[in-house]
Amino acid sequence: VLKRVLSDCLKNESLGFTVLASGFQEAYTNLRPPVDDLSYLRPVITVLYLFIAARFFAAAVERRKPLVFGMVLLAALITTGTNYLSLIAYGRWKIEHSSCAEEKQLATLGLNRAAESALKEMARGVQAGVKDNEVYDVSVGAEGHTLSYTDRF
Amino acid sequence: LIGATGAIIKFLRLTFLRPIERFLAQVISISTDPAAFVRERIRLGDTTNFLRSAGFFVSAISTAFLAEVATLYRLGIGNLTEPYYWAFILLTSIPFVLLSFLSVRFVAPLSFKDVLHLSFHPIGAGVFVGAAFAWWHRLLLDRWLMSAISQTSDLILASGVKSNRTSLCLSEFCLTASKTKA
Repeated sequence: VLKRVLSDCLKNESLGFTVLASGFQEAYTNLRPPVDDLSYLRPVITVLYLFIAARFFAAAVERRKPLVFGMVLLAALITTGTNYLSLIAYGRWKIEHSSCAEEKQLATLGLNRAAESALKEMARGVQAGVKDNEVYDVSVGAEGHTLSYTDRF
Repeated sequence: LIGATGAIIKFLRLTFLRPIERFLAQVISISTDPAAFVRERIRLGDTTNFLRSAGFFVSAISTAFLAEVATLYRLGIGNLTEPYYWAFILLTSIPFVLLSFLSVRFVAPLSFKDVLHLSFHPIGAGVFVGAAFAWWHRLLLDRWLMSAISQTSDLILASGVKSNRTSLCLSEFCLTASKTKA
């Protein structure tokens, strides 16, 4: 929960971190296995296509095709590695230098998140216990810190 | 009326379906035989051809954007205001294009525009194929989870309960099956 809270706080604070989280498919990693495997799929396929990019370059030139292929492949390897390492470093730096990482704020945010989650669970429980009625429908939901109880006639 | 309907269908086909068909054909061609694609479709130095490849890249990024919005919405995770995968792709592609340009310059006379032209297609196709696979994986998973929930619900009914509502939640994403004994 704390990890998620920290990530949400950082995303609210910085657009750069939101882009980073989006690139690392952070949304999927909040799910339980095996659904979270989905987070690897898109980035890995995109990187694999750099091999096809190398073949593109090799096909486009008249001479020294293997050399061009090797150069582009090397560029792909170096940039992928550099991108990965620099993005990880940026993420770590952002976490260390953000007010979100302060213990007190993190604890408050964590408690808020736990309360929201508990309220959602409570709403689900209440909704499951509602009996069918011919005159009106009852729907129970939770939005933030509010439990809403709606009667539709 | 029939003539008007036919004209509208033809217009829709030409406006929407034809470009999609062309785009998919290009993705398949790039993925299966890149060398043939370059020979047949890429003309370095031709501005129209360059703009076409840029259009292909924009289409691919748009698909990734739509896939991300749809997935975030369906799974109920993240915010719909944060599908920035396209921005991530753009930013991380810049070093590849620059380094390819610098390294290839030593062995072949390719201009920066040529390098950009050659990069648009494979990077765009990679983004699209990744989004398509993620989407397909999610659909399969949905079907698998729904069938598991349905079977659990049937088992509960078989135990003598008159009706039940079974839910499976993965984080905040829940699938529910309601069944009543006939």
